[in-house]
Amino acid sequence: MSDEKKTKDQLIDELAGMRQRLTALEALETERMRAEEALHQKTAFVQLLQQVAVVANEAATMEEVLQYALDQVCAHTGWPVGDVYLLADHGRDELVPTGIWHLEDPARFATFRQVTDVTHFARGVGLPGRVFASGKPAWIIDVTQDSNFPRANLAKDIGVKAGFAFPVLVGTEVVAVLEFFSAEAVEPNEPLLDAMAQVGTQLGRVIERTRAEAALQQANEELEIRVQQRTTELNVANEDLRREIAEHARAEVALREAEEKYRSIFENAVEGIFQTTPDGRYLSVNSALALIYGYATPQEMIETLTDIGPQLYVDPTRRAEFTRLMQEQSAVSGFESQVYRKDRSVIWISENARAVRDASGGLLYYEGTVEDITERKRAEEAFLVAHAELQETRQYLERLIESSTDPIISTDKEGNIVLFNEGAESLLGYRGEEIIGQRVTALFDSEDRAKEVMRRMRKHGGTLSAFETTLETKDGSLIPVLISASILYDEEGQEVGTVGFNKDLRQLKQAEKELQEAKEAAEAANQAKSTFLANMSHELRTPMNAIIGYSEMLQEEAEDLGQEHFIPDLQKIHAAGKHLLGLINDVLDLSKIEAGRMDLFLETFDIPTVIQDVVTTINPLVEKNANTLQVHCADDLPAMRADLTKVRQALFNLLGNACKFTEQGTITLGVAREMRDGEARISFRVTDTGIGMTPEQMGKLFQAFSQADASTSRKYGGTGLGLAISQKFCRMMGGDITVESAPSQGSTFTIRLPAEVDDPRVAAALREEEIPPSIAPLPQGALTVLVIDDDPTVHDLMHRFLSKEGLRMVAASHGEEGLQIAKALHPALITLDVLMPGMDGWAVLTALKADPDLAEIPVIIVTIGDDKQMGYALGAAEYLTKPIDWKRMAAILHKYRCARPPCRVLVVEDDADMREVLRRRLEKEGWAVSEAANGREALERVAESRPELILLDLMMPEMDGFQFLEEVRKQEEWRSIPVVVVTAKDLTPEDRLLLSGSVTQILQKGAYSQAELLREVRDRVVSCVRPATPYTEKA
Amino acid sequence: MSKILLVEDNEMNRDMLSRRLGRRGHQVVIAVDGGQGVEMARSIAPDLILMDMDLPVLDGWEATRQLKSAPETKAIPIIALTAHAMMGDREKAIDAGCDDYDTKPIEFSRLIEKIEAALGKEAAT
Repeated sequence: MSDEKKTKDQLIDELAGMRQRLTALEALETERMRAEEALHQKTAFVQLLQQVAVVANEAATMEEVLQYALDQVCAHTGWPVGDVYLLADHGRDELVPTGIWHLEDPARFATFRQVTDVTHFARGVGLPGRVFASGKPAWIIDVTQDSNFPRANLAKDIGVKAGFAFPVLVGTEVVAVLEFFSAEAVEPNEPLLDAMAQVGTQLGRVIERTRAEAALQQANEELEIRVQQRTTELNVANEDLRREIAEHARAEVALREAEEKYRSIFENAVEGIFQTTPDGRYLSVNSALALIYGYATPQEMIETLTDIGPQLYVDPTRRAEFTRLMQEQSAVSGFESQVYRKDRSVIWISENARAVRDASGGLLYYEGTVEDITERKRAEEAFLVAHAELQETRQYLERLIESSTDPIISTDKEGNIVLFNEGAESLLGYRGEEIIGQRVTALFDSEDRAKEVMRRMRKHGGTLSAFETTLETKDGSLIPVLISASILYDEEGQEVGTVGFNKDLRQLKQAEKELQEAKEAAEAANQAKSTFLANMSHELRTPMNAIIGYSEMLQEEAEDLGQEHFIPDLQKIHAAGKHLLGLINDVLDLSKIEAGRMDLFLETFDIPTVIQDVVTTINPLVEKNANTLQVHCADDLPAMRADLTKVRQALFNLLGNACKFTEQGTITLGVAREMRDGEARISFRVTDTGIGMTPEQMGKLFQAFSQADASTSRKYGGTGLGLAISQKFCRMMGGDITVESAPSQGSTFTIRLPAEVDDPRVAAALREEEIPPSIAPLPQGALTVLVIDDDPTVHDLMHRFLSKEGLRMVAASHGEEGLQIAKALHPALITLDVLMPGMDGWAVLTALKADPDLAEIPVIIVTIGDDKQMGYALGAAEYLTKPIDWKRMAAILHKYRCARPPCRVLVVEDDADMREVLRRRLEKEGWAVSEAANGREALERVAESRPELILLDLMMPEMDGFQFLEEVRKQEEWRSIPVVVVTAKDLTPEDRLLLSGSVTQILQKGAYSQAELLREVRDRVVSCVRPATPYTEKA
Repeated sequence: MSKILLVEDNEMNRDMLSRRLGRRGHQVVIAVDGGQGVEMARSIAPDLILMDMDLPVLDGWEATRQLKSAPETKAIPIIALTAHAMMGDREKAIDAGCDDYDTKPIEFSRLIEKIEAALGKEAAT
């Protein structure tokens, strides 16, 4: 080798090279060491990381992890202080201390910790802040020298030098910063920082994971909630679905059932049902249709009718019309046509049909129903005919109404005029068109009048006849009319309006007026005549006095002068003069009476004295015919108060007549006192044994100007006026003259006068108060009726009624008052309302009958219903109370005894014992008794044989008593049978209720109309006040 | 013989009464109206006055009242003669002061009785 010869150069080079290689190796070694160091460090860091990771995974809380990380890092780095900041929550952009520390020497660094724990770091401020801001780790070699280290002073005091911090990142977001401090200044350690960064990242992942976990948790929870919701919704949906399914199932069932039903209907329907094709064939036909068309089976029909148009319809165009309508409207309704049946007879049908189309609207078939309306059509025709007839009739009537000259007006139910005929037009001046629709009240002169018409119509059951009222014409003049109106009703009885027929009364009124004027003129003339006559009295008498006086005087002078032969002639003159004077006086008297100018002048006088005077005066006349006069004056004659002059005149009249018509006979004058209906009366009886009179003559007796016979006046003288005047005088005084006579058997004239004649002036004054002007004044001596009724309108009613009958009325409003008045006044009759409140009528009745003073007064039970239209009168003549007063019974029996005994009496009494007792008593009195135990039986008895008297117990348990009376009332032959009613003396309230109830019931049944009631009362009144022969009590 | 003043406006009545009374022995003086009646009563002082009530100038009532209220005539009995036989008239007569009254037509005997009664009374006083 020249190797040896390796050159030095080569060796130097080799050496150099070896040195290089050594350097390199050294370098490599350093490198390797560094690398190993680094690797070691790295490994340590990796371990750190791993540990952190492990802990992070296993840790329960974030805090745990952070603490561990802190501890590990501090342990790893040997730095003594470490703490953690977290990003503030709630959106604040700052770091807040967590209080998580790693302190090797807690005491030493206590202050530092305290301060740090309360310090927040904004972005960029301090160590944490800059990490916060940059998102990268930061290293401070010496914090005391750092300008951006707020805790610098503190650090200086405590001995904190170096510091580093690294962020925990979630993504790019800094969520936490860990900072560490050392007591010495330390140079930045990049690997450390890198490693820390990775820790940070790891931690960040942890945080992220935690967050994620939390989010996941929340999401989970939300999910759970949503899942639950969903589940619930799902359940609900499930339920709905189940229900739908069930419904579907039901629907299917229903559908099936419907189908079945349809099938059934189709087959069993009364109406014909069909399906036809557009070209006129039948697809299906039910039995009914086949029947309607007269085919035996649907099949037959389908086979026979193959072209509906011409085959079925009488008018072939009907089918075309049908299909047209189907085309346009897809349905027809009430399509009426005439069709042929199988036997070619024609009927009317009505079709309802529709077109059945497919999905695209194409026509599939028609289906519908057919009804045989032949009958209906006939009925329609008949109706039209009838309607036409009706129209004709109606038009005829309308023409009739229209053309009537009498005004006819009708209204609807609101009172608006709907008809106003020509007659109405011409009467009232309105044209029909202008007044129709107006209220009918416009035609009356006042609204009240119109209302009154309506009211009266309603009151009288919907009609009003002949009612006088006043209408007003268009130009305001008033016309008196007579309206007859009715309410119009439809078939259901509903009011539809009114119709009124009017009669123009103007002419009538004019005639009335003229008549009235004529009457007044006649009356005035009459009055003038009477006045003339009255005035003539003086003029007539004066010359008469001269004639009489001179003839008397001349007689005297003749005697004195001895010229007796003159005397007979003078006597004749005298007699004629006296006769004439008598005539004049009578005529004047009569005319005065008839002119109503005869007055009563009452004076009180002693009867015997007057009689004596009269007898003395009449004596010459008595002797003239050789009669004798006997006078019998009763002892108990009271003083009489009457018009003495008239009494004397009447007496003279009777006595004069007796003398005239008796020759050589006896004339008897008897004066006696009588009691009649509680009033004292005087009777003057003049009896003679003269020529007597025939009934015919008696009939004419009291008529003026007819002496019984024309010849008698010539024979017997007299004026023929005397009796007429005397009778008038007596009647003026409230009495009368009666006569009994027979030819050749003499006559008896009886004057009866009240012992006290009522002063006409006083009576007139009283009457002025009670009588309304329309009622005529009552004649003298009218009988008094006491009306006991609580309703004052009834008083008025009875007053008017009774005064028409010539009776006076006194009213009492309640029972007690009635009893008082009855006692004071002793009326001739009492009417009694049993339905009064308070002391009711029955109690009054029993009280009346219990008082012997009042028991004789006849009582009529009258109840008038509230509307005064109906009333009830208990038609009993007498009332007895139980226990029965037999003396009273005997008196009653006597009163009602019949002309020819045995008199028949019917006893109606439910108590058998009572009947027996009554029978015995009645038979003892000589009456023939029939019995009945109730009303029905009683009616039978009455029908068998009409009794003269009925004894009726009102207290029978059923309402029989009243009903019985009702029935009796209804029969004409029975209503006059006197009924004696028996009630209990002391009526219990139930009794009274029973009785009143019976009356009310009858009242409600509508016993009597007002007219009937008054007739009933009048009948009772008449029968009650008829003169009865005086009853003398048997010992 | 007594002096009777007859106050009566009717001529015939006057004639009849005065003649009939004259025959009975009475002296009859006539006045034809109420006024004259009063004057004459005053001047002749009759024993009795028959006064018709229906008189012209002064009616019987008034004349009677005047006479009855004058001292020189009030003692003279007056019999009223009235044509109306009515209640009112009689009372009126009595109220006016008449001592009695009679009705027309005169019934002579009745009147005579009344005259004699009145004169008798007067004679007694």
